[in-house]
Amino acid sequence: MAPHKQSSSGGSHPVGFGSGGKANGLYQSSSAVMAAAKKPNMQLIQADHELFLQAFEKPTQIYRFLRTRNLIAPIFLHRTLTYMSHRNSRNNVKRKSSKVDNLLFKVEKMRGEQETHSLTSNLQLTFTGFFQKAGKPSQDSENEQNSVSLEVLLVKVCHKKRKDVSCPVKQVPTGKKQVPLNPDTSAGVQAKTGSFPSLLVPSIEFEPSNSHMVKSYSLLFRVSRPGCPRTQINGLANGENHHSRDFSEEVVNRKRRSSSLREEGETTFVAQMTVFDKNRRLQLLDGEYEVSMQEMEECPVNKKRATWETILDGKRLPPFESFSQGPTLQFTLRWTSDSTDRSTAPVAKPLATRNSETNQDTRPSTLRATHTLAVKESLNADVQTRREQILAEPRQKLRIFYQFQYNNNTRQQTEARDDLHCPWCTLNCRKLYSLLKHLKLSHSRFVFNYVPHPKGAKIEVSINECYDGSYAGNPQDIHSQPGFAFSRNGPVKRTAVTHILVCRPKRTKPSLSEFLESEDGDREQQRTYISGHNRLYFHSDCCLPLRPQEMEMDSEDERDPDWLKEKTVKQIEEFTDVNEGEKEIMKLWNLHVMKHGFIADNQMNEACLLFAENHAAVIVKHSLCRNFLLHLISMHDFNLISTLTINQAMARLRLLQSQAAHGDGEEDEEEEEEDWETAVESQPELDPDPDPDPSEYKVCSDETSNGCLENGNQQEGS
Amino acid sequence: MRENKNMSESPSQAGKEIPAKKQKLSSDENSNPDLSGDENDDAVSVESGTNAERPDTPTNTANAPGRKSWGKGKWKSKKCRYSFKCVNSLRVTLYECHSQGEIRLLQSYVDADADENFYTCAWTYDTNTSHPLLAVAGSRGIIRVINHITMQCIKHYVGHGNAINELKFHPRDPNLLLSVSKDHALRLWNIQTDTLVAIFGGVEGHRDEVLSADFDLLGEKIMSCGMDHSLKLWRINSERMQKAIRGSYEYNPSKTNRPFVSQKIHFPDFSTRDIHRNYVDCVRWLGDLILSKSCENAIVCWKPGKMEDDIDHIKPNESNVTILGRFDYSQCDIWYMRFSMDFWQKMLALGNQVGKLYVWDLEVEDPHKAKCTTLTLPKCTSAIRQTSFSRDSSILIAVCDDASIWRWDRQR
Repeated sequence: MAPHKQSSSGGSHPVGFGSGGKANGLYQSSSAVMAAAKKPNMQLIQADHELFLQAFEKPTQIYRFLRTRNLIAPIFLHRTLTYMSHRNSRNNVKRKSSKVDNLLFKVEKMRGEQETHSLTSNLQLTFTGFFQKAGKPSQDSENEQNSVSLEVLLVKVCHKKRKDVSCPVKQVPTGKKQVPLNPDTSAGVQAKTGSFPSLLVPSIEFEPSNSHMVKSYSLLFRVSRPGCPRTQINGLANGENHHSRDFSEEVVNRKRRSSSLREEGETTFVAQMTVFDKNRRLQLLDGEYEVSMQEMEECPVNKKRATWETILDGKRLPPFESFSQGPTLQFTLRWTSDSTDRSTAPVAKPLATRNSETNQDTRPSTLRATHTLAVKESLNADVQTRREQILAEPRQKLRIFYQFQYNNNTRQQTEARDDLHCPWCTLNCRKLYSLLKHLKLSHSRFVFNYVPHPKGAKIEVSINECYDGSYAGNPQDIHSQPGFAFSRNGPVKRTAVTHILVCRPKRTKPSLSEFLESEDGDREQQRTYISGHNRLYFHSDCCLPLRPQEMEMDSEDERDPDWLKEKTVKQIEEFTDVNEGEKEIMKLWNLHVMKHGFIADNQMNEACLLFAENHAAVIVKHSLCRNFLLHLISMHDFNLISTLTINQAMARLRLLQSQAAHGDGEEDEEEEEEDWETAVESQPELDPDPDPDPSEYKVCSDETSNGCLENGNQQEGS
Repeated sequence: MRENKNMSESPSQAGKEIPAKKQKLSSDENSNPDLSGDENDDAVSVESGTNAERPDTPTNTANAPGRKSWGKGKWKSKKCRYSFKCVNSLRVTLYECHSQGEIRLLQSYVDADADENFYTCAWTYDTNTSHPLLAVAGSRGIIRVINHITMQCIKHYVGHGNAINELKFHPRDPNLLLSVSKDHALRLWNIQTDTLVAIFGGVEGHRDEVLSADFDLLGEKIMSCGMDHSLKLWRINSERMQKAIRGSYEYNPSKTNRPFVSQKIHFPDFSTRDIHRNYVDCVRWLGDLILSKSCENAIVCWKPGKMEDDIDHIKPNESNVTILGRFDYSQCDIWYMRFSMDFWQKMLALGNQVGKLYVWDLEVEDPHKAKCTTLTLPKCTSAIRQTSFSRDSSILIAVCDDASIWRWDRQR
């Protein structure tokens, strides 16, 4: 079922040489090919094992981590993948016949059904016993207590309302029972079935309550064991695990220390099982269950902060070893319609796993409170896989040999499995094709090659040297506040910039031959596929990351940046040989030219008119008319504009002036008129250049009016 | 490696020289952490509590004068406790000063990037939750804001083109963060709305690394200094800046598709190169006067313009400066040595490169006659980069290049 269970594969193979102490479960029962020939000394094997770990440990850890994350916060569902279509139990047959008008009717009908279902059935729990391995066999401790008190709570997780920070949780106590501690499962269980404590959760509890919409129901088992010597558990684990690293030793010590600090009172173990998930699907069918219990630490972890991050070192926590190691609770679950019917409580058969000593390398269960979430999840997964197995078609005997190649493909180790579960993420692929496809697409840090085998299939596993481990996600996420790693709390929406491109390539018929080692084009296959928009842009002016929404705007427009305007103004301000009015006109004019980017002489007529148009109000307001006229005339002196332009520009100003003066009275206008006269008169005096001949003016103006190009050429020539 | 883990007291030596003060040698963290997992890609990994058994591998031993490969630390008081913080290569460490001279390590944060080298830090508080916040920045030019209550890095700001040399919070607005950088510019951030309010630099800005900056008492202006030997004044009470600050509060990125337009202030409101002839590595306001130092063995007290000129009416092209006084000392001619003043601006402290600590009492009639006290210790012999007073100026913390922290308690 899971890669941790070596017993399924270990027996059929040359026995490993016990060096697997440090390895995690997957490689436990590996056999060195060379080792079969002679009896090599331990050192060689150790070295070989080191090489093996060096090659495969890191990617395996990463995939383990991703597996757990995908259980908690799935990014996609396997059943939606084409090659996993057999996992999809839904079909679209009804889709054709469905009508929108029927939707409400359907929903109402469905609700009615659900209610009747929940109304008719009560949940009956019959507890077989609470099992906790102690250092000593339980019969020695006759005088110790032989029962623990169990409290069963029904936890209702309600729908989050807008104002709520997190989902409101209601805990409904359903009862307290004394459950036998470590009952002798081998003898006389059947005889005493009637005496087992039993609990009934009435069906009313599963009905929707009015205040909150309940999202999911789960059972919370709380076992309190009075005076349980905690150190015993740790002591046992410590004793068994001789070659455990000192790190774990330290953890044990720490635990011991902390436990000694606490008063020798009750020890509480908790476990949680989902009854109805958030889609109101029944998760617990009738049957026998064994639940792994977790010791409750005194500091309950805030659910918000208990993310998957902390489970990282979960490799020392194989979920199934907790069943053979940790405290477990066995019970039988039944959905009954009759609440009084207790005598027919189903017979609890002893579970086989309980007392069968496996020769597994048991690890100290260094569980902390933060692990509980993971344990719960794996528990759920366990339940699911258990169900899956029941539902799956009768398994054909198919043996998969995983051949791990490492050290430049000079060495290899083989492990065999009898099922089609992915060894890294325990996903049941059910078909060889699906398994191979899954391995290739989901575990691209490795290269998988399929080799047909008389007994089943051989898969060569080697490290993908071409794997591109760089960040393939959305670069926007890195820059979002407060950082993607902290904010990710479940699936997140992609940014708006990501467009969905629909590509429908011609699908080849599924064939195992596509996994055979190909001679050419190997590189192509090993490359990871990256899709989506993975580029991040930055604002050119402040180096801040550009949001996708801002992409349409150009922050790089630099024809007249503010600083250049400011600089121009400041520089003109520093002139000492021009008066204030002239400075103002110069500033206005220079900014005007900068803004519109006039560069040629023949643009000057247009530039002047546009200037008069845009800045007339300012010029009039600051009484800069004469300064402007002076400017125009000196431009005329340089053969840049025609007299016609001067006229038009000044006419524009005068129009505005007269409008402005209209309110003030006519005196102003006269005054302005006078100003204008004086400006014209004073012009030759101010002009530092030798006076141009009036006749020349005319010629020039003619020229400019006739053809601007000629004028420009002439200017360049002179 | 230096191993001054245990608090060793040597009151006898100290007592001989300065009877008024006693000293304590505190522990320090300069060990190389190896907890940076590669999974936390953009995060500051959090580590708290005392971890005495961490292996201490030397990380930064090369501290050639004039180069930055040391830890710089500073503290600020928080609530009723004295909690200070030391930034130290890639590690941010929070300590708490207790009475009786004890210094207790509270928390330590390590950047995930091994190349990070934190240079500076500043305290502020969250205006909503009143949590104290700590901003740190360093060689990578990324500002990180740490909430040490939730033990998380809550914000980070990318944008500076190079290392950040100093961080300062606005004295009246706890959301305005000023950062000065090796990229020749200063930036003003609004950490509530995560906006960049303004960039100070460019055409007439600093022509080399900006090393230090300070807000004046009312937070109306900023004085910055740098490697270009210049000191520049930037007013932020101008209409343009006030509008930008208001705009930064009103900006909501989820409501608009337009980016927040940062002000680019290219022209300082005053600039001078007449005070110092070398890198200006520290500047502080003292009322309307300015204290600044270069690596010339003197802190200069000066003001822009002529003696009678008002600081608020100084023209940008003003070329006069008036030097009012100097605080002389010796053996401090390497750069990146910061002096500090207490909250009440009555004490001024500076360490030199041989571990001597100069403390001036500014509470005298004539600033020229400010009393100078020299604090020395036989064990403290490396350059004291930074000093800091507690709010009631009873404790002085000095941080050395050899990654030791020294605490001086005032006894009168």
